[in-house]
Amino acid sequence: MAVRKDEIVVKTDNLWKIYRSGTLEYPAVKGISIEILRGEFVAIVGPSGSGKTTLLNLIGTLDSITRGEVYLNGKPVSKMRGNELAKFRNKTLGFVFQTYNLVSYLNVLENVELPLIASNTPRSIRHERAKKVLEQLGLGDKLNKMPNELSGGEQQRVAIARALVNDPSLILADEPTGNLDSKTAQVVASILKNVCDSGVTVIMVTHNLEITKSCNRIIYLRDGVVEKEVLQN
Amino acid sequence: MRTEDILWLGFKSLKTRKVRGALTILSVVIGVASIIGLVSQTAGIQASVLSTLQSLGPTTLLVTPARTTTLTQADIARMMSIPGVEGVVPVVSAQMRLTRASEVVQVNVIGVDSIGLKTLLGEVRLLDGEIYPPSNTPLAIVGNGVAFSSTQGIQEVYVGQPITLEQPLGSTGRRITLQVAGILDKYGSSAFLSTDNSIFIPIDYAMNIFNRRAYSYIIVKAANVESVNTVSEYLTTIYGRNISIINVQQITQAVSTIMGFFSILLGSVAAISLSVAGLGIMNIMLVSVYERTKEIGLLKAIGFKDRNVLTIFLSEAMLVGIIGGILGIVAGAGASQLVPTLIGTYFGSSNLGGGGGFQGGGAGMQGAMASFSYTPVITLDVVGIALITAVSVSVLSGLYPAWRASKMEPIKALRYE
Ligand SMILES: Nc1ncnc2c1ncn2[C@@H]1O[C@H](COP(=O)(O)OP(=O)(O)OP(=O)(O)O)[C@@H](O)[C@H]1O
Ligand SMILES: [Mg+2]
Repeated sequence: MAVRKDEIVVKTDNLWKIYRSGTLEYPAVKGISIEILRGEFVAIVGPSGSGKTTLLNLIGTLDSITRGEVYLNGKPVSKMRGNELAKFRNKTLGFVFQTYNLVSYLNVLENVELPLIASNTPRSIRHERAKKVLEQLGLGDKLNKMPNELSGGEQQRVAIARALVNDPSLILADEPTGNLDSKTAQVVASILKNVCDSGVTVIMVTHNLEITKSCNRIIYLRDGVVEKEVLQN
Repeated sequence: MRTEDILWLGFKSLKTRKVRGALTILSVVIGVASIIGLVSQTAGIQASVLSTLQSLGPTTLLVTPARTTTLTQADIARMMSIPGVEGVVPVVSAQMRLTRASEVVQVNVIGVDSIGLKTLLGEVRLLDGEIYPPSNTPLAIVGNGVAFSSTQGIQEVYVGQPITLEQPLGSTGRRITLQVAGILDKYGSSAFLSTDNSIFIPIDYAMNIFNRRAYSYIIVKAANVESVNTVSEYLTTIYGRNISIINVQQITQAVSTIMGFFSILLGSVAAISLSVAGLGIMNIMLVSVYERTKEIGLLKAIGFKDRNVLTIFLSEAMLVGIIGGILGIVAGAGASQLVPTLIGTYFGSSNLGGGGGFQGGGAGMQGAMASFSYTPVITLDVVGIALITAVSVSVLSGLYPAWRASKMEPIKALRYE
């Protein structure tokens, strides 16, 4: 399929998230409206507590929207519930976390197979697909290793493989290099850049300004609002 | 999600937490083993008692004299004349001492005619020799335990050999010498008659040497099962409270009812231990759900449905039930074989300590415990029920924790540290 760069993959429309604890209300995201195109590599930066994770989780359908709407591939996510939502996440989204979140009792291959297990993919296809993605990320010799036998960078590559294995249209990465040294961080960033080049949209929250250099766009958040957006070639 | 993947994930996660998994499984093993172990005892005891009764046959009534009554020759004729009576077998018994090569043992000497012997034993199985003729001769058929020493199983009494019996001191002390005509097969002992520890001699001869005119008890055979109760009523009408009647048919039913009750009682006690195991499973699984919060969040983020998470956790609980159930059945079967030995040791399992047959109602029962033996019976029913109970208890206990896991919000789970 030809990549249509103008296709809107993510759109937030006056998006609000207000956390409530008792009578206290804390608005973490305050009316954000952004549009992100297919194949874009977007960085979200900003001070701690500015609402980066909250925004990413709202886009990723993991958190409930207080007001406004998120459209993914044109679909309003607040209308989706339960199984439909689970299926949507499985087919459309891929998550990468700062702490990798690999399942400790499954080996590398099995961890990457998890999204395919959820989608009922037959065993043989599952193996093939997961193996192929792992090989592309240079982990072909680590298939049977357990997560605790891998370095942080390797674990994060496994997590990226898991995010990619279902052919998602959107990858959401929350500080994917937060636990890595600067050299490994560069490796992970360039992997994500390659992913974008293949037509997948990547939104990455980061504190590492060095790795934002490879992004098309940087969104600066402050106190729950977009402070500025910077486009890069 | 495919069933095999659900089970596979459940198994993987169970395997990681080895010690914890082993302990939960062990609690199920104990529960199931106690069900199997205990219920098999009552079933075994029931089978043993019933087989004894069955050898007497459901048409049998045992009549023992009560109060100061004596049952004599005249009573035989009287009982024969009751409608529905097919046969009447008088029996006389006494405790005597036998001096064997290695030791002096207490035996029951039972006087019964050769036809009555068949009624008494159901089937006369001889290892050697033959039944004595229906006459007043000093011939004896000895039980297996009389012929063989209890400790080594060495034969000490042979066919054709004379044996000397002594009446214990105190009463009219006497010595008699008998010739061994036959040796019985092993019958196993029962609550009513310790065949293995008995010596059977012709009744006329027994009456002579014991110098008795009254019988110890009389076996009345009804023509068929239907007439048993009528015969019993006739006997009561004639003798009133001067005799006590043991109705084999009624006892069989009573024993079945009582043992059935005990089965349920012991089974329930064991089932309680299984429900305690269930609480353990629930507790441990709640801890597990709490610990795996992040993992659950991740599974949901990558597209696992609530139902998938629920079934993964339930499959883990089910595996605990199945593994624990199977191991419990094996352990229970093993343990159940030990119980009779332990009971035997506790009561002192001297092979020849048995009481005096049917002698005077309860008196015969007193020594019976010492020589009572049985084999535990494990039925497929009990195995099936135990396994199903184990699996259901485990799955039910896992239900709440699994439900908690399935309802976890991915965002809360992922942010959890
Ligand atoms: N469950 C919650 N309940 C109440 N307040 C919350 C909750 N989650 C986040 N917040 C608050 O919302 C604000 C935004 O949080 P968020 O995690 O989005 O920040 P962030 O930009 O990702 O920060 P960091 O760079 O430290 O990860 C913070 O002030 C935080 O304390
Ligand atoms: Mg954050």
